[in-house]
Amino acid sequence: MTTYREFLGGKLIFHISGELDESNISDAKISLDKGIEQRPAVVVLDLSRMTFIDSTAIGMILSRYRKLKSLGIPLCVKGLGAQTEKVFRTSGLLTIIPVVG
Amino acid sequence: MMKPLNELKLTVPAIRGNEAFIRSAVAAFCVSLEPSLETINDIKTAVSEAVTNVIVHAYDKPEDNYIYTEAELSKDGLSIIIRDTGRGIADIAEAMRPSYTSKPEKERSGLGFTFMQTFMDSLEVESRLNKGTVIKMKKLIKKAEENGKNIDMIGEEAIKSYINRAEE
Repeated sequence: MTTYREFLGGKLIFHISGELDESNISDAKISLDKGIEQRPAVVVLDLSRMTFIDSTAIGMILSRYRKLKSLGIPLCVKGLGAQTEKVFRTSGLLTIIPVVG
Repeated sequence: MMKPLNELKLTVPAIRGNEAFIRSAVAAFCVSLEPSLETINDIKTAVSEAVTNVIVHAYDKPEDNYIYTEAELSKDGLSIIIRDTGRGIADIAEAMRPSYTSKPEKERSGLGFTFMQTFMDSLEVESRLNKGTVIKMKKLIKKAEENGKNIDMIGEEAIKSYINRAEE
C-alpha cells in the first residue's frame, strides 16, 4: 500500500494504491490526516490504483467523512474499481459520498 | 460424503499481515475451478473480514495464538472454515448486526459480518465463550468460461443479424 498527497489549488487529492486492510490502515490514516490538517477546500480520495479494500477501510473513511463534515469540507471519491466499488456499495458509503470523474 | 477435489489446511499466527497472506492463499487455492474475477474478489473480501476479526477481537495476545483455515474445493465451489481458540462472541446476533462494533473508538465500521454474508453464498457462525469462534462459509464457483459462453452467444446473434441484414 502506498499513499501520496497532491494539492491542486485548494483541493487535496489523496492517492491510495495497492491493498488496504487492518495491517496497514494506520499508515493511511496518518497520511490522510496530515493532509486534512492543511484545511483543504475539498478532499478527493483517488482509488484508481487500489486493488483491494475491506471493511477496515470503510471504517476509516466513515470517520474521516464525519470529521470533514463537521469542518464543512466536502469529501468525494474517484477511480473505483470492480472490488472497491462493490465494497463501497455494500457499505452504503456511496449514498453519502459522491463519486467524481 | 464425496471426497473433495482438493483440501487446504493452513495455520498461521494471528498477527497483522496474515490477512493478506490467507486471502491470497485461498484465492490461489480456488484457481483450478476457473472462477471469474468477481468471484475471486468476493472470496478475498469475505476471508479478509473473517481473518481480521480473529486478529482484532479473538485474543488478548494475538502473537501467541493462531488462525486456523480449512478449505475444500468441490466441483460446485469452495467451503471454508476460519476458526480461532479465543474469547468467543457473547452475543452473536448483536455482533452480526450491521454497524455494530465492540470497538467504536478504533474507527471500525462494524460491517465485517455484513460483508461475509453479502459476498458469500452461505455463512454460519458458531461461538463458545473462552473456547473460540468458528466461521463457515460457502461460495458457489461458476467457471469464468461459462460467462464467456454467454458473451459468445451474444456475439453469435449479433453477427447473424449483421449477415442477415447484409443479405437483404
